[in-house]
Amino acid sequence: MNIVACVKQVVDTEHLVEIVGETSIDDPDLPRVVNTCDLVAVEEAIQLKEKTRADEVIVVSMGPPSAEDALYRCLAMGADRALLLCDPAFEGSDSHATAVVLAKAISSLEYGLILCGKRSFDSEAGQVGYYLAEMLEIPIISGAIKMEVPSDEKVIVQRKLRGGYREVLEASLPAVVTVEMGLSEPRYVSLRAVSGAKRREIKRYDMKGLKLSSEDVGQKGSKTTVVSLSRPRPKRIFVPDSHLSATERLMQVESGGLEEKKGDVMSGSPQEVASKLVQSLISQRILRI
Amino acid sequence: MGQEYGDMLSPVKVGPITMRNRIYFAAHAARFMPLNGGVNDQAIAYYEARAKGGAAAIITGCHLIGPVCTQTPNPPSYLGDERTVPDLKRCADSIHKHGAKAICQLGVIGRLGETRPFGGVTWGASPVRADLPPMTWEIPHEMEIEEIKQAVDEYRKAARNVKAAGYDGIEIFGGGGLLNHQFLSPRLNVRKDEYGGSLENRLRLQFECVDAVRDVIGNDMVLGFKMSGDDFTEGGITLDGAKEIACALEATGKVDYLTVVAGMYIIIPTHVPPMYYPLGPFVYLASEVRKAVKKINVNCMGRVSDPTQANKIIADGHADMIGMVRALICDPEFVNKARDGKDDEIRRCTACEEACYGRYRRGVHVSCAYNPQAGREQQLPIVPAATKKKVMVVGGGVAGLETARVAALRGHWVSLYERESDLGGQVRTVAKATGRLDFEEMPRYYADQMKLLAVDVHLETEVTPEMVMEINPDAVVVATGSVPLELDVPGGDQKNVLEPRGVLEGKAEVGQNVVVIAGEHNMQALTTADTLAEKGKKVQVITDAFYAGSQAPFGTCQAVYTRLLRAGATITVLTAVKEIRGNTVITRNIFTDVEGRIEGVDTVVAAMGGKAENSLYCSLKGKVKELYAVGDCMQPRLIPQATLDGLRVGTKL
Repeated sequence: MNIVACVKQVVDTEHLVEIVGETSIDDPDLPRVVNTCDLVAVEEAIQLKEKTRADEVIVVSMGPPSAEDALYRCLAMGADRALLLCDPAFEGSDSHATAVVLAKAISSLEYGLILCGKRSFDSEAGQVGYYLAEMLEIPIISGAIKMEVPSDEKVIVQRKLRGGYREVLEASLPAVVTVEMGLSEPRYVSLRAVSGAKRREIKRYDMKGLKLSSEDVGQKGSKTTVVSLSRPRPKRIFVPDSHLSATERLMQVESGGLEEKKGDVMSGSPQEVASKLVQSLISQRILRI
Repeated sequence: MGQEYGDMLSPVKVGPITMRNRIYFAAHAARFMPLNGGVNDQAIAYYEARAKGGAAAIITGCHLIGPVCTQTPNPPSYLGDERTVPDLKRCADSIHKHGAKAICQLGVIGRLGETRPFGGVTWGASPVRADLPPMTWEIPHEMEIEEIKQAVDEYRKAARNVKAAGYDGIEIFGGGGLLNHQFLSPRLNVRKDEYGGSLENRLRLQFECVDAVRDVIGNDMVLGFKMSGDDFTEGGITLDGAKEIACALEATGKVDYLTVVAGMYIIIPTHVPPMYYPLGPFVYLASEVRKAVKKINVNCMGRVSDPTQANKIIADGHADMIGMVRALICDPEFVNKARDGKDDEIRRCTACEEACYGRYRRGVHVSCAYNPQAGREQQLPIVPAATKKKVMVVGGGVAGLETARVAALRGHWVSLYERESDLGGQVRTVAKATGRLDFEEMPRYYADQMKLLAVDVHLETEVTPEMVMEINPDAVVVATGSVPLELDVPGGDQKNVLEPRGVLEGKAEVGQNVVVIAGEHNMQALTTADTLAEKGKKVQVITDAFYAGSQAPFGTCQAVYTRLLRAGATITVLTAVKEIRGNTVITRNIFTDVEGRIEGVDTVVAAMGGKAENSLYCSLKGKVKELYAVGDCMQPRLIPQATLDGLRVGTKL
């Protein structure tokens, strides 16, 4: 049985990302990495192979030519083959259009299990796995935190529910499983291993090679469009009211917006003050008589 | 990489260029050149040290343009003059050499100029008096239309030269009370023509300057605009107004970033927040403006001096970048040290203002009390010593500590002796005053450095001449400090007359009614008075000067005055003490000799300054191979002079 792992190259969100144009954070100047969740999928696939539960691990990525780097890393981790689905027409694809391309490529492969990261760390849509399963007409289980493949016929998956509950599901193979971050720890690969992997071949397919038309992919093949993207609102910070006088504003800034606590001052003879205090404590329901 | 500061160290796009991190050396009047026109070798070395230290960009200037600068033709320092290009080019190249971007800030001085020293005419949007200390109190000439056009033309001319010099960008100084700010402020601009009145009209000059500069520099260079987010003057720019200005500037499509600062130059504590202010007091201005604009970069400034603080500002989304001035004057290697996990080795600016703003106001180049090498990068480099010596430093105040640090860095074998159980000397005492806690940073840093540099520190050790003879070092540096100078009037030796060091240390009992004699004219009397007033004492300050603290940095002085006056303290000027008789202080006016009496005084605190404690130095003279005195032991002065002594002797050893 072969396992297919789908990976995406994303902007390194460890860096602060900025909005490029109106609707993207895809800054060409920022470093790129393999989506961390997808690395977990690759790791899991390799581990299954190591446990002799799989014959071959095939990594597939749709992306620009630079996505090669992501695939080399997966090869260095231990994947057997890599496919890059790359065509200028694929640009601007949403989850649906992306799944169309992936499904087309995967359907030509022999596979028993398809692993995807639960979501990508750039657009966070988390939909590709579902579309893929639908298009390939196979079952899907999402958000695996534990996984077992006892035979070539079935997969057993533990999922996290709310409040600490766990659910165990079973599906017949072939199936799609999307994985959570904690499922396994992606192995460390040395720089040397990555440069070694660069001598290996990555098979490329463009739109023609996949027998797709421009109607199916890119923006035309997309079901959704990003209308706007706004940056996060800054955390709350104390701001004095512009209508106060300059001196009052400055006083507030100097104190960091903290107001001095104002208490009630009680005056009178000791007896009077004592009785006022008791009355006040009773009225505030601190004291009960 | 220091993941701890990942946000602060992350790259960011600013218009056409990418900055390597979020920290830049912001523009400030460093005064290496007369009137801050062009640059000279000293300025280039100063900027280069900060570029080398990891700052993403160096903004040189503010380079003043406009007629006021044409008065200093030799060397040419007026940026409209083509002859400044070679120097500017050297400056840009030396910044680029270290991977930082070079940006040039331009500004027209307007009503902040002074006719007394320079002659000529000061320009203003309107003839509104330049009031509030420490201003010139001049009423400027209301600019005629032709002069406004000329000002815009000055921007164009200067921009051409800056571009030719290979800079990466230009920043227009629209804050700080300079001409552009004067036109923006409804308080200072009461013109009736198309340049005054409505916001649209007040923005006209800004747009013309932006257009002029962008025209010249094209789209490959960055254009920034530094503005005031709240100038804290009645009837001036408030945050609400600043948001509108920011949005209007963004809408031109020609500005790549805004830097939001506070205040007007003239109200210094807001523009350069002193130690009495919290850290980053004006970050909120940038944060609010950043929320108001669509996507333009917004930077913040003002007392950001710690990497944790800086990282949080970026992580919380308050600003895209942080402009630092004093933090990088104090430690040019701020960014590199944070990146390399050496954050403990960062000298954090205490905001004491003694040698930066304090020197600036005296018309000389800026330096730093904590880092005396600032501004003297060329004159006092720390280079390995030719012959290694056994150096003995006596006294663990900042003068002795700086000597020991520099000598150890140069490879000498250094031992340091301190009588007390802690290092820091008088600085540790000062840190006990209300609002002066940040001074503890200095002993903290020096103690760490002594360990790192393996200086052999002996605490609680009083050094005698015999000890020195026995140890027989190659060089002895005496840094034994000073003792308080007594009040030399009849009754000055009464039991209720105290000196401020003991008061701050809590060693002396202070009564309810206190007279503080401000005889040293720096901060000592004022901080002691403030500390006592905070404890609920009734405090009267008397001074024989025109004002108490007349030699102190103005912003710090203004902040402590505000505190004292709010606490109900009084300050009486031109008044000297004649005699103390029991609980009565007899005074005299220094001009008229008229006597006054302050009755019912429980305690007198006489802040008269210090007297050199040089007995060890005197007894060692002629008996050791190399002998130096540094700090108060040489002459009682302030922190900057003490550390500078240390650096000078440390580099000479």
